[in-house]
Amino acid sequence: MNSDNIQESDSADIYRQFILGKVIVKQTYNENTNKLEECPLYTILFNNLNHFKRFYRHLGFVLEFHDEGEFFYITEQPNDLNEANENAFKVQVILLLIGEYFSSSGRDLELLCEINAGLDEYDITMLSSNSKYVEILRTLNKGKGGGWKEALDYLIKRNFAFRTSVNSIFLSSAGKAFIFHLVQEYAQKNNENM
Amino acid sequence: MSEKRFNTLETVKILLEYPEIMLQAIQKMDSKGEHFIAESDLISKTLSLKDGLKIEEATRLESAFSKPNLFQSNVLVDEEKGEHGIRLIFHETIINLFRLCDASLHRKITNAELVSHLKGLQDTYQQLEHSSFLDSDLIFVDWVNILKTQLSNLVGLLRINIKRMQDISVELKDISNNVNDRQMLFDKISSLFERHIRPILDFLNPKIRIKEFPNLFETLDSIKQKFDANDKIELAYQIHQFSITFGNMYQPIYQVADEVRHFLNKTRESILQYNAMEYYYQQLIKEYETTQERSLKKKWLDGNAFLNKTNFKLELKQYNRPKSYYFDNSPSYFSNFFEEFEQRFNRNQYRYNTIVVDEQEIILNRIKEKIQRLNHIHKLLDNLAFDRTDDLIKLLHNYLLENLIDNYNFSDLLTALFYISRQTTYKVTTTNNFRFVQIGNQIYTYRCRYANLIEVYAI
Repeated sequence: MNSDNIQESDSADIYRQFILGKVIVKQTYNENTNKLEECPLYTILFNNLNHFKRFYRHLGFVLEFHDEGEFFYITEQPNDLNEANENAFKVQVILLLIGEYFSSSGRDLELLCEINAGLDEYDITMLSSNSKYVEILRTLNKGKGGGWKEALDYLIKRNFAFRTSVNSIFLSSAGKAFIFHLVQEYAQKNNENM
Repeated sequence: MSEKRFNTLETVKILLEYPEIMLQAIQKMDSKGEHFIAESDLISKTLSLKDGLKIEEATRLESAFSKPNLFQSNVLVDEEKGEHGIRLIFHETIINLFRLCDASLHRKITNAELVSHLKGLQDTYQQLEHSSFLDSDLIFVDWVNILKTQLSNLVGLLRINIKRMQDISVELKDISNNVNDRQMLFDKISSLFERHIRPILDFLNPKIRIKEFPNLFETLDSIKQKFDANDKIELAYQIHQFSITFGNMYQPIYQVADEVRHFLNKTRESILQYNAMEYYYQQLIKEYETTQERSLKKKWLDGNAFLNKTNFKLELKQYNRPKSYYFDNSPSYFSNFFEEFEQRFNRNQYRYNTIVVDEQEIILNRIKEKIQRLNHIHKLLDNLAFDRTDDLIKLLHNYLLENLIDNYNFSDLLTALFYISRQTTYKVTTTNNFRFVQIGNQIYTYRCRYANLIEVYAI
């Protein structure tokens, strides 16, 4: 693929997103149309993968692609395991708490990733009033404040979830990937034990 | 005990007048998977019903349900003495009559029953094979009747069961999603599917055989051919009709099986998701609880331990953007630069004591005053001459007190101290002895300093 076809401004946009710790998902939520739409930056990355891989290598990063969740992200080379994993850890814990709450309420986890389902105001209230969750979040933040509002913002900021209105959120394909990864891991463990 | 006996018709009438007794007994029988009714159950139920009745009615009830009466009217066919009491076996027709009256009591058909029906048909076929096929032959006619009865019963049985399964399937759609009941429900429906739905599905599937025997359709086909070969066109046609009827039943049961399978898959998936979430949540809780242990070092959650368990490695750091610089040489760049500078300066000048050229500024006046005072003190100090002193501060304090008339304050003392300290003619040494001096109504503690005049040797 001829890398001259890439607009420099697009490349800069991609860079800006990665720098902010965001992942670039295949489908993002458009507030105006209330639908999930193709993210143009993802398409550009996908179509010029070799170019971008090389580009980020030159910057000292590794451009990675997650199959299941259909998203791109960068990692530092060499891997600074501790701090970078801290962020991944935070994201995963928040997603796990949400997943646990959701399935305990009898709903299928697929609904978490639907635009019109997901978490609503009632759910957020319930999450905030669960003291165990709040305690875990506190430990996660190393004691610096932060409850569910901050936790959800953390996910949204990095494109693991989208906000449809003030108190209504659903997970992106990246968020979904993690939760279903857990289900699959568990299923495999179970099968091994049989 | 009453010795009154009723005939069968009367007995059955009374049984039907108080249907709860038989219905409940049959329900209990079905739920335990048994084929008899315990005598104790019958008696206790009869007794409880007797309470609300008039004497005459009560006696009638008791008599009808008494064992001797039931036997003599042929309602009861047998009794067994088991370990837990006497077991009563009612006539099949009576049981079926009550099953007819309450749709929910129909016994769900099992594989064993279907096989036995099929065997029955095959036996009948074999009997017919070797018969004369003459209408005048009574044995032939008997077997034909048996065949027809078997087929009609089978149709009825299958029809009722399929209807029952369809009703259950509809119920499944409204089932609640309570997580606690889910596993139980799943097991129940799963067993229903395996034991009752699947056998019917297989039985009515023309392509499936049970073991090595010919299946329903093959059997019917053989019978039909036999009739055709022996010129019994009417009978052949009737068998053909039966075949079609059975064929038509396949579609509805197939649909039910499909819906139930779908439900089972969904529920299995839900249960798996729930278990997975709970499992990892418990892992997280365990990690969390280690932070609550004695060790003061472990305050916060350890990411790596948890990440190893979930096996989802991802690094997501926020990086600092490179700081960019903008340098230029153009006049517009410089005019912009100075404009920016002036704006910031104007914003901040009231915060800092900056010297402004404009003499109207109050701040300037204050600075001016301060500088004047400073100079004044310096002049005074120049007039002060001493060789040595053990307490410099005290010396300065006394001197200033005398000579500085207007508003002698602490900062003046400091000014004096600094001035003297900076002078190269004096050597000032600080000790660790604390003294205090009072200025106005404040008391200040200070370290005692002694000063020596340095002798300057002229060269």
